[in-house]
Amino acid sequence: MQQGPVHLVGSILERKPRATPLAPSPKPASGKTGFPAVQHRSQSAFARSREQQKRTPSARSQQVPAVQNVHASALEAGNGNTDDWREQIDEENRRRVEAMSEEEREEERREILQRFGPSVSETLRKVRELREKKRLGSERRETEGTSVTNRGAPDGTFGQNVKLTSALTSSSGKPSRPSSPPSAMSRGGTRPSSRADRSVRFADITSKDIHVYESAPPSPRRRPLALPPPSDADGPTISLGEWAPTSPSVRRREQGPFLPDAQSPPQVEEGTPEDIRRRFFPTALANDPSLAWMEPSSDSPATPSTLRFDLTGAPIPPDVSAVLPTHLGLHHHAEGVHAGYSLDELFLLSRSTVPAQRAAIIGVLAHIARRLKNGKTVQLSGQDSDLRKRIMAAGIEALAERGSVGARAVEVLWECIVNWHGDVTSIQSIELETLDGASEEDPISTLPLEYILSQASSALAIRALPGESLTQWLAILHRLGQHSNAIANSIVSTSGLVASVVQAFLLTPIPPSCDSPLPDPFALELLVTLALASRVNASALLGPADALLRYVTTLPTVSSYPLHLAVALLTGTLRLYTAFASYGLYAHVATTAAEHFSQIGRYIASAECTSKQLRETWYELLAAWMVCARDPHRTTPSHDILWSQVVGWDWGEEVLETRRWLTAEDHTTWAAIWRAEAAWLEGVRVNEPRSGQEARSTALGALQAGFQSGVEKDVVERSHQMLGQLLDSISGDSIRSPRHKDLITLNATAGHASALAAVMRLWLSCLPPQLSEPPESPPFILPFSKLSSLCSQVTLHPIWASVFSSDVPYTLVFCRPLALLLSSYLELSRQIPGITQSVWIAQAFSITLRLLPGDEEDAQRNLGYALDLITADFVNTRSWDVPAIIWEKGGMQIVKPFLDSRLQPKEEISVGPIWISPRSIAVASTQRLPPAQSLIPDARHNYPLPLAKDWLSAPIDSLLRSGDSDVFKSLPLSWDASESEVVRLSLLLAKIHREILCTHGMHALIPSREETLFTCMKVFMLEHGQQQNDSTEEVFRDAIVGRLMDELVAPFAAGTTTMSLQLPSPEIPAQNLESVAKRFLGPSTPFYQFYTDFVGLYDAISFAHPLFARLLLPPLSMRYSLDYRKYLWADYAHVLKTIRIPVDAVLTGSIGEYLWPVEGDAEVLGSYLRALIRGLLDGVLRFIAVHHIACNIWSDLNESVEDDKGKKLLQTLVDQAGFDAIREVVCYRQVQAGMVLVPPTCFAQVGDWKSMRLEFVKRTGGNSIYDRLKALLEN
Amino acid sequence: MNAPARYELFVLDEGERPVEVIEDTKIPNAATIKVMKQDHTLGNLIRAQLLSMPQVLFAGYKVPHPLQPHFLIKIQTDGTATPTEILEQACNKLIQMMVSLEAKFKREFSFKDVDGAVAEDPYGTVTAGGATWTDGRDYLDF
Repeated sequence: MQQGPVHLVGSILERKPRATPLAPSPKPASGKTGFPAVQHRSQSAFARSREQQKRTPSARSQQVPAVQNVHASALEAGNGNTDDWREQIDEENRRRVEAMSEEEREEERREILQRFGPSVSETLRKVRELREKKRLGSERRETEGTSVTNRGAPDGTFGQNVKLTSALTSSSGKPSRPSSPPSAMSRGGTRPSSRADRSVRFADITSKDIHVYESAPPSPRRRPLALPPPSDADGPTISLGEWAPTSPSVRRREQGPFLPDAQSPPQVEEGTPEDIRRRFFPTALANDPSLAWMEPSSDSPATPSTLRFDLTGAPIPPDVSAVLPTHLGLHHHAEGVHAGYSLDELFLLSRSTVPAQRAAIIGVLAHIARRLKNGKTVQLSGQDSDLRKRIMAAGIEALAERGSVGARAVEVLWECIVNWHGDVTSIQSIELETLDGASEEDPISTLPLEYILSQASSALAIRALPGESLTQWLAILHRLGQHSNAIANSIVSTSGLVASVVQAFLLTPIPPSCDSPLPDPFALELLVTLALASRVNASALLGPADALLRYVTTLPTVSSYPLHLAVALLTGTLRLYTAFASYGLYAHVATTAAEHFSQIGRYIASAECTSKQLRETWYELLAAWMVCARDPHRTTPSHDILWSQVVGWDWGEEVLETRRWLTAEDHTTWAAIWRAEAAWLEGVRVNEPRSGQEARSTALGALQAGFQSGVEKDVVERSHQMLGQLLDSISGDSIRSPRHKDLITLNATAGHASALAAVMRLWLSCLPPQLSEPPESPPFILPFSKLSSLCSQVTLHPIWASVFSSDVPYTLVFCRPLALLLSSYLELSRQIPGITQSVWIAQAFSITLRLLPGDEEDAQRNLGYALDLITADFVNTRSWDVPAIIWEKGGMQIVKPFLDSRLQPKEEISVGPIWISPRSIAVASTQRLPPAQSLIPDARHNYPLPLAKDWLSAPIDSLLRSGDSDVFKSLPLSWDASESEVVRLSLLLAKIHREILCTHGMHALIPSREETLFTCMKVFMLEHGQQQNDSTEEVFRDAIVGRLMDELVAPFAAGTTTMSLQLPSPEIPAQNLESVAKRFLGPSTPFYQFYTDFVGLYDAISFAHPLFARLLLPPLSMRYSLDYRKYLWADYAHVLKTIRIPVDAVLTGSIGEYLWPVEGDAEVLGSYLRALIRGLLDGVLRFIAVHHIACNIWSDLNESVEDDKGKKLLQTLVDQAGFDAIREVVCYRQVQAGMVLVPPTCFAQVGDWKSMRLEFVKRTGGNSIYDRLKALLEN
Repeated sequence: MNAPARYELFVLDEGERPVEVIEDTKIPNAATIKVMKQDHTLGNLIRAQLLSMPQVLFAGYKVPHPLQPHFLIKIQTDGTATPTEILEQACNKLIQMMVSLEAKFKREFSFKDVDGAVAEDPYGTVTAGGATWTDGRDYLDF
């Protein structure tokens, strides 16, 4: 080819034929008869000529490389039937020759000889012989093929036509792998399959040759091509034709003798850049980088890194995607030869303007989302949240579309929002905001909420979508409402949305006709969720709620709906009423529909009612309404429901009637009954004459026997036993990263805990009011001592430490009943004779730390009791030496307002308790807990509960913040304590808190070292910015305050335990001063700033107060940032003189944290050296400075020391410092593990290291220093 | 417009005592001394001097409010001298130091007139009478 001259671009080639052209391969003639083959007229003449045209280039492309036999191939291309042709000409020639005269023959011969030379006759004879020989050989070869069938195709070029499946195995070179025609056609993947020469593939197929497999297998896993060709057993099939391997590559392979010799370059497909280069620019470089752009991009096997998906959203492995057949529909809209669609293609196609395509692709995205959520697509693990956002965005974009696109878009949204965390649907009493990690990553918070809600509103109003899509919309709204109170509020405030929901799912025609939809109880669930989210929502939902009476008016048994649906609807409605009642709203319906409610009551108390859930919900509702009725001024509007009405309806009696249907297994129903009865008795106590003595004795008469030896007793015993077992099986880890099983355990725990809490509430409600002493005999018997030990187990359970850092934020919901159990127990334990004051105070202090938002009322009440108990007598009997003066101004009542205000929820975020109270129905702004991550007790949060361990220092906080503290505005008139008195009392309280918890073994609940130190620092900081000139007014100089502070910090001094000398230092504790201070200082003020003020205050007014000085030290440990050391040692070097603290008075858990790792900062080292030289240092500061200087000089203390630095330090020290300082640095010895050597032992060690040091001195310091230090370093 | 007159920062009011000593009743050998119409300049100086004296256990000062021209200095001694005495000593030492500093400065300053050959450029760096520039070479020759 290279030597052939090129005349024209394109396919016309003129080449010199060889002197002896090879004869074409003789073929077995199709028509052995010698007649031309029959031409079928099935195609029109035009079609044939078109075909001919199409076939020509392919024939040419086959022949062009075979330069040598261009003559033969041209002939062959011109007429397929070479033998016939030759015979025909031969015959014609012979006839012509016979017809010629002798002269004419001579003339011709002469002419030929003249033109071709004398040897032409010899040549022609040879050619003829060769031709004969070749024909015989070729025939033999043809007949040898076994898997080859002669189809007798009209073109006759090749007789090899192989059935589709076997052709694949023979041509693709991968016999074991199922393969597809397109890949075989486009060898090497150079051309997209869809662009391969179609004429070659489809031209000669007749209808009998094509098979249609009835169902094309969609999944690549099923190996579609392993299917055998249809047999008769498969029933009728239509053949789509047999596949002819007519691609050039295949042809060449089978052409054998006509292939160019091995030296010639590999063949390339025509039209490729390489082909053009070879043909037209043979001198150009083969791989010119400047022409690289011409190479097809899919030259490498179509970027196997891109993951491709099939139509079910399953990823296709790259090797499979290369060979899948096209009929699976995976090639139609994608680029490249690979089957399936990459994510980018999917996202592109999801914006297609062809609705069908768009709908299909959005459906694929929904599948992908589902698989992602299930963790099935391992290739995408790690990017799932990102992908979820993108898929969601694609869905949202299509929301506004009509028809199937819109429906699929809803499905995508449903997959990504609802189904992603499918198990949270029933979680109602907590916001789920942090379910997907921190708020900035949270996909739901980033949604264009307004748009989605307006779409939902119109979709539900028009109801053009199919029923499934509408249900999905409902679920989406529900999940969004669960997400956060803000979203729930915006759902309610979106105009028309709630109305459409009610209209679409609840107000269906009555009685239902066969084609009208049935109401959906899940819509009631949505309404409940929204109502629980905020008081505003609940008030807004009152309007639609009226219409729901339709489910109340007919009993489920006579309802026109199926029984289960009617029960579900009734339950949902009652739950909604309960949710309203928890804000004190809508209680008037009890009056309005009193008749129907009494019917329901009778139904539920009868054996007819089989739904446990309905029963429980009904009693919840009764309890809530009775609480509303207890104080008519707390409901909104007031006097919505009256106690006299409740008495008239006789709910107290009704509640107890159901008991006979219940067994010991139904502990949740029992709990509901007990709660309702307790609510009744509590109301009776307030509203009946003689504190409801009669009603109480009636109820007790009914109850006592059961608790003595009846089902009730069994229920309590069983719940107690189960709770104990469940608590044992819960560990900290199972809370931190709970699995499904753990959540079930937690749920069961919560159920039993609330049953026990309910029974305690009932017990308490049976007591007469205003008891100051424990009653003479209990109303009924409970296993008091067992409950007591159970509650102490709950209090100290690891669940509390890990629940706030749990992966699943709603585990907090399951802790709420536990907190409730604890606070009920605390109430109960006040009335048990055996519990001493001290024990009760210990319980109160420990349990208060476990309470959760919503329990503020309990916390305040318990705090009040506890403070009442802490009196001078109480303290004096315990021989804690407390001066009498401290009690003068009213004792603990002075600090009570501060602590109360600490426990007071802020107006706008007041979480309602589980058991509503007259106070909570008036003030609660929401009934849902905030997300657990925003409640970590040790971090700053906006809720009064849960408390940090040092919360009793709240009065000091208020004093420090007296400018913006609300407490001072609401102090009682009689309150006239001074600053010192408040501080004294709060320090005393902190001390009592610690002592009592210590006595009862609750060490885990005692404030940590850092918390205590920071409390003391705050006491000192009270003087910051004060104007007075005299130390007499300073709070920390108050003798009692000083003593109490000393007592508080005493256990944390290094001297109290030898553990503090242990090296290496223990693990870094979870808390440091910075994190503790953040709680008080807030996010914008760093602790460093506080510390600088603290040091400045010390410098100005301290008179070297010893505790003040000790509090300066903790941030100087090597665990804290370098800045603290720089600040005190360099910037405030002059105060170092006044800090004279012995080593054992340092407030630390480990002296080692001041020593190791060795200081490396030059500035701080310079400060150490300067202070040493000036001889200002004493005690622990001197120890620290000597340690770090010595460690930077001597390599036996610190391997990484640099000679250079050490030399300079030594030089300076020896030149300028006094003898003592030099001696100490030179003789200093310290260990890295074991016990810290403290002065003076660290200067009196002996060992080989002395000679090493001497050597170092000699080497670096020269003789003068050597002489001076020699005496010190020689033993 | 509400700014106090500048002179109020350093002129004593009618009948105002420049120094007021408040003995501390709670802490032995300690006193708080209020110095009127002075600021950090003097406060810091005295504090530094006091801290360098071995009898002083603690010395610190504060300016309670930046708009009120006085400072409080707190001194605690080891009992060999009262805070007032120590403050006097410190002030005397400071005055001595100032005097000697002044004398030294004046002496050095008078050298300028005597040693006329040494010219100083306005920035105080002494050049050798501009000699480098007059012997016919300038920086271009380097």
